[in-house]
Amino acid sequence: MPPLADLQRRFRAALLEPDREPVPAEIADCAPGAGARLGVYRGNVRGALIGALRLGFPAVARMVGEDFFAAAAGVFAIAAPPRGADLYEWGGGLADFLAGFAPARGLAWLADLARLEWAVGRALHAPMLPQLDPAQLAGAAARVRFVAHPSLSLLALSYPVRAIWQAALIAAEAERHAALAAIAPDAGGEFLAVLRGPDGVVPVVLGAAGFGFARDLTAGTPLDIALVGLAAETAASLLALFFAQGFFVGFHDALDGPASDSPRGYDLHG
Amino acid sequence: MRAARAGTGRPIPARAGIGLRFPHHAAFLQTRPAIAWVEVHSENYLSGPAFAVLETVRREVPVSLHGVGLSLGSAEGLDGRHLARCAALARRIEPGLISEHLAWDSVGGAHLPDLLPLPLTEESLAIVARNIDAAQEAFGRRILIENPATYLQFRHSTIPEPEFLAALAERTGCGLICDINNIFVSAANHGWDAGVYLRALPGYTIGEYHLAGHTAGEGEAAGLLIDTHDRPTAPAVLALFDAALRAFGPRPVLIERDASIPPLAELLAEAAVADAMMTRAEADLAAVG
Repeated sequence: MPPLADLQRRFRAALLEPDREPVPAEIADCAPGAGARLGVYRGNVRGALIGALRLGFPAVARMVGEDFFAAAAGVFAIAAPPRGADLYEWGGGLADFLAGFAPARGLAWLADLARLEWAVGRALHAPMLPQLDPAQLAGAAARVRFVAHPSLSLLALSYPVRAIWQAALIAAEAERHAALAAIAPDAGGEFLAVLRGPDGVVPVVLGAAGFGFARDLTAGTPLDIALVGLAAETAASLLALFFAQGFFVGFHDALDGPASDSPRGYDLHG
Repeated sequence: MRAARAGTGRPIPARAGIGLRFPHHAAFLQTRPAIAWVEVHSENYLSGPAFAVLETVRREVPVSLHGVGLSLGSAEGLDGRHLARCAALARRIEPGLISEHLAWDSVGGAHLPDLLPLPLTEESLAIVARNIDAAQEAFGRRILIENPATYLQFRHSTIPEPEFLAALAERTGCGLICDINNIFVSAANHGWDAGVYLRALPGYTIGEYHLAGHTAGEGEAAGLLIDTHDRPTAPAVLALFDAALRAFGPRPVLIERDASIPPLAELLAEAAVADAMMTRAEADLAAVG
């Protein structure tokens, strides 16, 4: 391995896992010492990683407290550091990590709360694309396949974390505690669509049928197939909801042919 | 194949600008502040809504794009996807300047969000030059490289930092950001003479100055200066800035604040000080010349 590549690998390990990797011998040991000098970078990197997660998961941080969050985020950051420089894209694995994080075992709903916050962050930072106007569908075939808005996530959750999320983010402490005390964490799960709408990021509550229909449509299932088994009235009201909330940015008409990869209704490169 | 050239947009004037950060977005959208130009961290504007703000800001003032995550010092080369996203941002924003750092942050597919130090060797010089070439290719234009604030040195470094930067400019055609605070901080941390460092830089390659505040390290880091960007520029750094102005002349100068961000008016007042220093140095040079 070329010397610089090897040094950078050891430097990374010494930053993230100081108990396992010694301070690289190449670092000049001038006062205050090689370890203390490397420690400045370790503190910067650790602070930036934990800070990025705290920004992305404010309700999780609120619910477990600063110290617990920093400790958990620190362990997660070492196990799964960001893959790229856009830190908004990092943290999708935190929910699964928390689900298996022994010190959080008593908080069964915590992973679901992290799933909701990841979806909220995704919605916040997604490209600003106009939603599909259903009028554009005029003349389209029944086999139309929709393109989901890039800000949309569909969540099947085991716990009522929408209420926990909203309560946790109440700034006033007394009001927050009262709101949290009113929530029964075992009250059952919920199906949510999270996306950035005209009024900001909102979780839209879906029933099981709505969730399944939305999941099929956003996965590219043609409309006529996704409709199978749905009552006409249910389908009509769900489609109205999806369009009103802006679930879609465009569509492929079956007449476009299978090779077509440029959907109608929007232009990502405009 | 050469990438589509990013438009150069409105040029950055040789005056003081400020780093535009999220807390000041609303102020910028409501009133157009009296500032000659702004610089933003590219990585913060890959998000849809932040990009929309920048599209508005760029119609009001010239914008400089300052990257913090290209990792030009990575032995493994650049992250092609990230470079492409930054190049796409530059095509849309048409910045007056594009810049990055002499540093690295990526190895083995992991991104460590800080500006990590490099050994200054012939091997590093070849690697960084190759990465700058790739970046300039993607952007379709010249970029500026900033001297870093560093807290450690490597025993096997053979090239003094200002010579290393001069060699990069020579090999790649890139320009330099002369970060006055970083020179001051690194000089204090390594026992260098900041004036000697400054005079060793090739002045004609300098396209921009940076000014920021630093802090004395505490605990284990006692004895080091830390580049915290959390307060106004120190008087001693402003003195070094004056020396730079008299050696190299006026350039765009940026007031950077990334923590403890004050009201916009305070940053504008700091920018006015830097502008006044530039005007005075220019008048003195004209009187002598």
